[in-house]
Amino acid sequence: MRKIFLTLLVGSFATQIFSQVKINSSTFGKMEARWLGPGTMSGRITAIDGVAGDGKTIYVGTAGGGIWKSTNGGASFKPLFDKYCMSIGAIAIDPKNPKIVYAGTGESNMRNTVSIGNGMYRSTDAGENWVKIGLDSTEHISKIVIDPKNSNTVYVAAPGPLWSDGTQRGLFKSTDGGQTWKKILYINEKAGCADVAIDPSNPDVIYASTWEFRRLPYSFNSGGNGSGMYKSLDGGKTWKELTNGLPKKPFGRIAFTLAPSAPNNLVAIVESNETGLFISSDGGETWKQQSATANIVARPFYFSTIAIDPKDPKRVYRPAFTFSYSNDGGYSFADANNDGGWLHSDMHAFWINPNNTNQLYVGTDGGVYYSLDRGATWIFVQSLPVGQFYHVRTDNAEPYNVYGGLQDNGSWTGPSSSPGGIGNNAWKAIYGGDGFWVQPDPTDPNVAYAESQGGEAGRVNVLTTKTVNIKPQEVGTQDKLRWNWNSPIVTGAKNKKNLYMGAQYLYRSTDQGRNWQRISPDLTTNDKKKQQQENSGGLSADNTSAENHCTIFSIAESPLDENLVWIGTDDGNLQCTTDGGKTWMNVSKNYSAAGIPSQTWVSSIEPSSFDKKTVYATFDNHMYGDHRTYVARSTDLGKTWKLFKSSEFTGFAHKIKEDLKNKDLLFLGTERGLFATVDGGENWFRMKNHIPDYVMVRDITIQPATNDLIVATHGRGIMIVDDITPMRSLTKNIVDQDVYLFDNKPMVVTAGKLGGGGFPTTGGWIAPNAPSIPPVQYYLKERVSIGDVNLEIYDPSGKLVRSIPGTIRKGINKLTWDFRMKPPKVASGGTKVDFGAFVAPMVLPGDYTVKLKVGDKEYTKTLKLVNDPKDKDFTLQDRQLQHKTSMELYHLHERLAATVDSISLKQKMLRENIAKVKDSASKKLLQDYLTKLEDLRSTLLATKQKSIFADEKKLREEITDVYAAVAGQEAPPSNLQLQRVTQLQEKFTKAEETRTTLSKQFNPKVDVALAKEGLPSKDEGKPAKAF
Amino acid sequence: MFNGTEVNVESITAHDKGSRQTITFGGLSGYTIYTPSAGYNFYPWQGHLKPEAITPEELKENEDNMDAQGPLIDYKEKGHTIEYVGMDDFEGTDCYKIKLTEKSGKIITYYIDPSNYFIIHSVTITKANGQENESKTDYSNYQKLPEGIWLPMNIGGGNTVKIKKVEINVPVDDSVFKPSTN
Repeated sequence: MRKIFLTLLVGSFATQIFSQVKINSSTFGKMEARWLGPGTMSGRITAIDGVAGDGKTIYVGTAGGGIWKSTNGGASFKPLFDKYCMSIGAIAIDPKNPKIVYAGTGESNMRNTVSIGNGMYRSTDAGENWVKIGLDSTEHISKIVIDPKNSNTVYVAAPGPLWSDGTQRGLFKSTDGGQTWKKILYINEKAGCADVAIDPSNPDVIYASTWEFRRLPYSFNSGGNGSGMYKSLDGGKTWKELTNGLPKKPFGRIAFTLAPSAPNNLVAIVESNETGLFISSDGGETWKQQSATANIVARPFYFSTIAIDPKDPKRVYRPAFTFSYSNDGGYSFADANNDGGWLHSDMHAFWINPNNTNQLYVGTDGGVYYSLDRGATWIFVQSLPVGQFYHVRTDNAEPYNVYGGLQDNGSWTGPSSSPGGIGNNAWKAIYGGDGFWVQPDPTDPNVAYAESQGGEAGRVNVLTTKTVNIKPQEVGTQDKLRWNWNSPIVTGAKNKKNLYMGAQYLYRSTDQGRNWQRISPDLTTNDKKKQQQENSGGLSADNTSAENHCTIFSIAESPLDENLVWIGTDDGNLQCTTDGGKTWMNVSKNYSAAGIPSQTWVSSIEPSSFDKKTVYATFDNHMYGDHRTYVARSTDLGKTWKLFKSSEFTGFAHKIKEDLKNKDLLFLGTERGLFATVDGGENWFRMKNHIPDYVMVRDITIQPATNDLIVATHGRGIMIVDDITPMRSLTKNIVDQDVYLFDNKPMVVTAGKLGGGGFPTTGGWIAPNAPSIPPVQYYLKERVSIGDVNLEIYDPSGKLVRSIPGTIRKGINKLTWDFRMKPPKVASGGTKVDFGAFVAPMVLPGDYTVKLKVGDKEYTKTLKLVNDPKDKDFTLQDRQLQHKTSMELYHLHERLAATVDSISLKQKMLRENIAKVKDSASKKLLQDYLTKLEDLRSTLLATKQKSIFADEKKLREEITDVYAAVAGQEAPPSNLQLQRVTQLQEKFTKAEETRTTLSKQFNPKVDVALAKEGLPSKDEGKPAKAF
Repeated sequence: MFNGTEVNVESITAHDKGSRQTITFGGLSGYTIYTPSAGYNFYPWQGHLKPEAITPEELKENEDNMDAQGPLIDYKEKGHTIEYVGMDDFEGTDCYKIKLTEKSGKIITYYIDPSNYFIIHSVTITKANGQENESKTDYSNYQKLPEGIWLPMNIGGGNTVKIKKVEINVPVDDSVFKPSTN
């Protein structure tokens, strides 16, 4: 027998004593998230590199979803970086050894929502395993370049922190493959390195651009004297600034590239007071400005990619707001066409296959595209589920739908389950722009409220996607309304008719946004210094509502009292009203007393559904350079606060969610992970249940009917943990037991709620469905490696109907029984697989018993099966008739199998003896008998079929035809199906008669003939094998 | 098991001479045979009418199938290399992770439970017809054979193979490594 396990198994086993079991994500075992994606809109892509040698191995870095690798040019991907930082700034593959891959974390597209990295990583096995190699506090990395002649020399451009000054920025160099780093170009605490290039013909020649930039919560600046263009001739030891022909400083961000086939040729986009495109043909010593369209020079802080074909120095690419290409070295540009479909705007990553320069990959705000014609037309890669959701909500449909809005990808709805799995085509776009909150109307299943940036809200007919603008307008002498980039639209938790929107004032509508009432004064600090967004952007004006400030950011109505409403602002105010908005109480000083800095964004508020005075809130202070996790609870309407603390916490906090049934079960989403506590916040653990360790969690909701936990991630789409009931019920008493079999709620006998979808999908991301049959659940304190685990099901009479191999993982295990028995034994032999052997009848409702066997121990619970009282098309009587008919056919299969086995055994005996008998008459007798038996056998099962496409049907296959139809569906048998059963039974009876007749005719004579030659005639023993 | 249907598997390995895995289900039998010089697949349920020869590349990749000891024993002498790549989680158990690179280029990453040193999971990357493939296998229900060797009696990779009986050092007729259709 096999083998490979022999080495490690010898030796004594440590005896383990588990006095107290610590609850963490492994406690919940199989309670794993489904990744809904979708891939249809994908998400922001920040880095792409490919293996030049094969042209099909592609690494894709994302803004919030880690690194994904394809080994087939983009047909499918797998995530490689799920234990590490999800924000990727740069990827580089060693050109000499493609197994070596570097990843720089923290993207450098410095938008308002950009995430933060934690340094450099290196893999030596093509991405399977990674090691952190330093530059931990750079926060943002824009480019990695490897010396093509010396793999140990690596350059890393680090713009550095966005929200604070610091020295952890500049151009870094390693000469030992990333083990140690030296900062070789540094300007000041405000300016880092934005871009770097190496002359492939002379790797001592290095070009780099530096960049001065800063964000505040209410403004952005790109530009300053720290920005510049530099060149080194000695591998970075000394530098000189390049200025000849470039515009007057100050500069902002400079994107540049050189032509690999003619490295003295450079092109650069220099942000300045007169941002332009510049070309040099003498290694940057002199530059000439070229005319350029708006796309070429647009938004330099966000579009920093420019490239030249590795073989053709005249072919220049500028992926930016749109995709432009030039055939004349950058003198003129054309735009990609839409013949292959729309190419998403806003591009940040680009790779040209150096061995086939027709083949390009571009990364956009909406996923990866590839081109096979040098960028003229593009094909969308549909299998990357890296959407950046801001929020998620669910409706009450069965199966329920999720709703959410995404960075630069509008607002969408999709089902939590769908026939054949949830493919891209199951999703529907319902609103444009950047998407944020999408609220299905709990009182009207056809309506949802959605928005684009800056509070542009609409009431959407979900079926038609027709919309009505519902944004509250400023009236009279009010201040101009201030809407956050991500303005809240919230329906009432107590009164489902209430709809809230917040600018600096809180608005409420009770008629789906047709009419609004302002129910507050300005609830923000109204600090005028923070309201000068017209001046935002720096050298390039950039005022897109992304920096709007002194606005309401979160709204929550108490689930217990519609007059109790909480709001949080982006400038630190946390206020509540207990009288439906007549009066307001600001509690911001109170949370500050608990150690939470003032002025933080109040990122979420969660009034308890168990106690009116209890409220939870999260606070996000990262825009002041503070990444700590702030989550707190008040039990006295905000007068005093308790700050939760845990060594597990990482990342600034976005969302706190209280469970609907268990007040001690809380979930926390941060920029770097999903956390839970089952003891009211005393102990927290990271949820790693098929969830990336540092996933960016922006929102969390719980579907009340299914008890599913739905997580909006900012880079991995929607994730659903089905049925969190075990998290509610797992007591200390249970987790201390070695094995615990949970009680079963009565189950409806069903073959599932959905069909298979008819036809396989042709590609794209496909998420698995929620289980449509509730699993039997059990808890194992430790993984069971010695001894078998099996689940046995006994019917009401005590008869074993099914045995299912158990899973053995530590924590919660889930086993689904499909309510079917074991399939029949079908006749063996013949030339095709008979699918009757795979179909088993469903059992009838009744009181069953489940027995969990773990090693030599048994654990038993009852399981009540009921007929679906709502299903009028399949009544209990229908089910009973279906079951009876299925069992008749089941038994017919087993009887036929016995007959065929008997024939086969006899034939085996005859074959063996034909060779041995010497008497020619005896030999003929045996041969005649063998032939007659084969004639009979060939009527009982397919024996001649030579191809899977040449279908041969004999009695076995005929039984299967009707058996599979009757037993495989949920419907009573038809009249003709019932008649067919009788007919097949008669056919079998005739066959059996023939066999008996042949036995009587031949057996005595054969016995005599064999006895004469001293040969045994018995054919007992193990059944004959077909081969 | 397939929809509750039992699939019978008989596996024979003669160290460095050959291996044969015979699979019987739905009334049909097929097999995979590896020997140092040739290999065959015969899967009638996939429409095979006769044994299909395995490509030399695939044969080389799978030569460890004939290693009855498993590639970890005397790995150096066999030309393989091993690297410890740290701790990693498998189904809630924090495991030692060991990467074995075989002489053939096949890479197997083993997950070893530190509490008992059992291999509980492996990931194998093979190359067939120029394309890399990844397969994952779980090991459980370890039992100690009379010979003193611990073996996992359940081996899963989607479906679970439950080993009923293991015989060691029994004579093997070379004919089992020859392809046939009857």
